[in-house]
Amino acid sequence: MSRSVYSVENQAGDPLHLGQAKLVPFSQTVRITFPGGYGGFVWNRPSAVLWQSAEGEEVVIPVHDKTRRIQLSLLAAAIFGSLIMWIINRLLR
Amino acid sequence: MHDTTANITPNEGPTSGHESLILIEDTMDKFIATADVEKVYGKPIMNGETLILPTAEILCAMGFGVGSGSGNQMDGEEKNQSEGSFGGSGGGGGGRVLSRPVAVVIASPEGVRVEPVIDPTKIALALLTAAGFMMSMLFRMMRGPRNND
Repeated sequence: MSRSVYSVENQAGDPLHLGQAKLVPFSQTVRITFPGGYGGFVWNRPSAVLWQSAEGEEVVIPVHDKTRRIQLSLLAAAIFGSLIMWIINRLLR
Repeated sequence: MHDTTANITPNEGPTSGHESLILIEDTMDKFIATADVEKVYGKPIMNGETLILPTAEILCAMGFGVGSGSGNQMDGEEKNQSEGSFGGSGGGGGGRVLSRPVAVVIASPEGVRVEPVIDPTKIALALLTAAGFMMSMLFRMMRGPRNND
């Protein structure tokens, strides 16, 4: 159980073949292990796919989590909007 | 969305401390296995010449602990207990695994594209939370400074 407390690693999965073309999935893992190894936290998410066409052309396409982006945007908008309201309120008094 | 809850109780029944540790180590290994790339990408689906690859995000948290203790026989207790000392050990833990679809990778001989999976429920909840936060801030500002007299 001698693992590092915090680690971020990128991994490549097994390539998938579609005729002559090839698709390689990549994932990113954030791992936090409690000292002593008695538990921890793992966040594993898809990061990108590598597409290699039959002609040999390679393209990396990132996999974005749109739901999380929208959630974070709404949170940021709420904080920013509240800050603006607070500043306007202070200026009007 | 798919939620699962897992709980482990290493000392269910007459298990020794060593067995508990083995069980904990096995559980820890399963927990570490969630970090594998194969867990994030689902089974590829072939539809004619098109390959569909579902992707998901996995969040896994768990914790457990074990303990043992021993003590001497107290004065008021029966003396017929052998050796006159007591000991015991126990442990427990819990964890949670959350997985959520993120996107679908669609590959065909013409090319590849990534279609996002949007969860309207989560967005609606975030919207309501953001609106509630702003409304509470607005009401607090309209009410003015609190008078402590």
